[in-house]
Amino acid sequence: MGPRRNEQHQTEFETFVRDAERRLSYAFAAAYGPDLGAEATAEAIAYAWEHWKRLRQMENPIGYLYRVGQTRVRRFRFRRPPIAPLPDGGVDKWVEPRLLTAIEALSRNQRVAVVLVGAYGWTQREVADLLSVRRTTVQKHLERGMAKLRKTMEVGSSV
Amino acid sequence: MSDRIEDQLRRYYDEVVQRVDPRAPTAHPQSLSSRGPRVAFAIAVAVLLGGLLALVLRGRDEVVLPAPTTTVAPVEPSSTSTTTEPTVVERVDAPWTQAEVEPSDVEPLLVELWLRSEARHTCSLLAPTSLGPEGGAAVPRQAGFGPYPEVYVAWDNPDGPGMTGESRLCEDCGRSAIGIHLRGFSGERRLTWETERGVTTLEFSDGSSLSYRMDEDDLYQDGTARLLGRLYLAPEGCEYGIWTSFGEDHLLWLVDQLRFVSDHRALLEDTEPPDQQVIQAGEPPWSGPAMSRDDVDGLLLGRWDDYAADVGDPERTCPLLAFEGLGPDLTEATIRVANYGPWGVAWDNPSGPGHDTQAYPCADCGRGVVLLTGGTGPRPEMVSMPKRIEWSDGSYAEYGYDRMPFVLLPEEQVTVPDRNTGEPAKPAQEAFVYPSDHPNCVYELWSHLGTTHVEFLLGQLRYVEGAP
Repeated sequence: MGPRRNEQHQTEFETFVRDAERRLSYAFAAAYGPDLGAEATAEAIAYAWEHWKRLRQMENPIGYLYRVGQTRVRRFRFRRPPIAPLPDGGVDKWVEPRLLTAIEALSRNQRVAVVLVGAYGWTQREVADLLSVRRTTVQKHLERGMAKLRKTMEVGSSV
Repeated sequence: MSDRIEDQLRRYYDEVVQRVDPRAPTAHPQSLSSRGPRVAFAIAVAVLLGGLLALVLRGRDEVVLPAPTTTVAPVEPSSTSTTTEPTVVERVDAPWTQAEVEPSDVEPLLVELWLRSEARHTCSLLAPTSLGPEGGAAVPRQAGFGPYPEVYVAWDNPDGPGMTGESRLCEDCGRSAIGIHLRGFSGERRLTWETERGVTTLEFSDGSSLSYRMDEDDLYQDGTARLLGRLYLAPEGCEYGIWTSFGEDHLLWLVDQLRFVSDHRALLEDTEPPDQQVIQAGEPPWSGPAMSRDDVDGLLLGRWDDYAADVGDPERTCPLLAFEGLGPDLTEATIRVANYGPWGVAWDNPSGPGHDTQAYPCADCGRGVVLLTGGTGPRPEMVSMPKRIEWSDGSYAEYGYDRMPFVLLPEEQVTVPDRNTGEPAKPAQEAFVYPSDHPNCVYELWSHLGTTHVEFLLGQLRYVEGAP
């Protein structure tokens, strides 16, 4: 591979990683909480660096990296850091404390769906690609997750 | 505190994500579709260039199909395709136009299940003569749920890629690594994909066609996935599902091995079902008061709830039927999730008959001694099992056969040695239940404790309060 090709790959990689790292950090934060989420994100990005040549040919590289992160955090399965801990600076006064308990009670995919679609406005298709599932599956996770959150927090539908 | 939940979630995760990735900007990653036309244009250009580059890099690296007896055009690997259009490849000869083979040349379980299927009346027996080296150590088992309207065989491949009990892909558990599913007569091609993305279609000289794609729901660690194929056999108007965990080349190899079995019609003549013994009974056991939810194991309730809500029956067409008791021999049995049927649960006993993880009977392992599942499904139009209970309200149950791989033999003739101990072991006896008040529903149960226990379990079936 010539220097120009190397340079092109480098630029492509950096562009890709900027977006992927941001997306994965939110997804893994929702899935595993901040501690394991940080591990998963770092592992996924490291994998991207090592396997960029292969990754760049995939249809859904971010979805693949999500699976990589998932696989790698299985090493830490005996560690059980909190999924929704109090932030370092304490809970924002606009966040009800019950929300953290409610988040912990969701399944992993429900959490990812309610955070990414409900809170951050990703499309269900984007989350489906991330999780490598069908869009309708994400829709179900979202509906059930939001219903659980509302029930736990005893509020009515906000939709 | 009046913010919407979604707003509160965003506030919380804006803080949390800083601990995950300190470099993450406070501006959250919005949907791609909301970033404006400039970004969309840039992405479109990048995808286009990426696709072109991938094609150039791939160059002459064409897939060579292992099809020694047919002429096949090269196929683009669907896993790396960036097109949204299906790839269509013309194939000159249909493998099944070659000489028919003897029943002994194909997997006996396929023959036996075909003989018991309703599909046998409309679809000839088409079976692979080989699974290739990938199937060398694979063990066949009856897969799928229901009273044999179809032929559904999966091969478990020890230590190879396959699926776990939770239906996730695994690198070394090997469950359901390869499979064939004769769905039956459809007249015309009915099986289609929701999207044509990544689908490759082979068209055969006899008008048949095979469409296949990667199973997008799950990936192996190396990024590959199960290959799912849908074969429409034009001369008969029959449809088949076929899958493998060993990639595109292996799927095409399997298809290339498909042959009609020579005297399957004669086999059919020789093996019509035996006369059915019909037992008339009173009201069905579930006609009485429903069981309290408190008396039903939470795992069973959860399985049914999840199935009804998430998977296949959102309208809750089929209520939950549960056992009021399992009988005195199973007081210490524990319930677990079973990867069988829509919401299968099984009971393991500390000792006694059961089956191993590949469904082979064992004398003293106690695994899966009883199973229960149910869902929507067709009712057989013809007599298919030796015994039938008919209740006064029109409900009925059929039973009297053991589960694979020893089908079509009366219970008293079936005893096989435990693979570990050599002790005689009994396959499970299974039953299918058709309540008259839910005509689209079928329930399946089995027991390794014999027909008498199956009849006992049928008498223990109850509806459950609140389900529906």
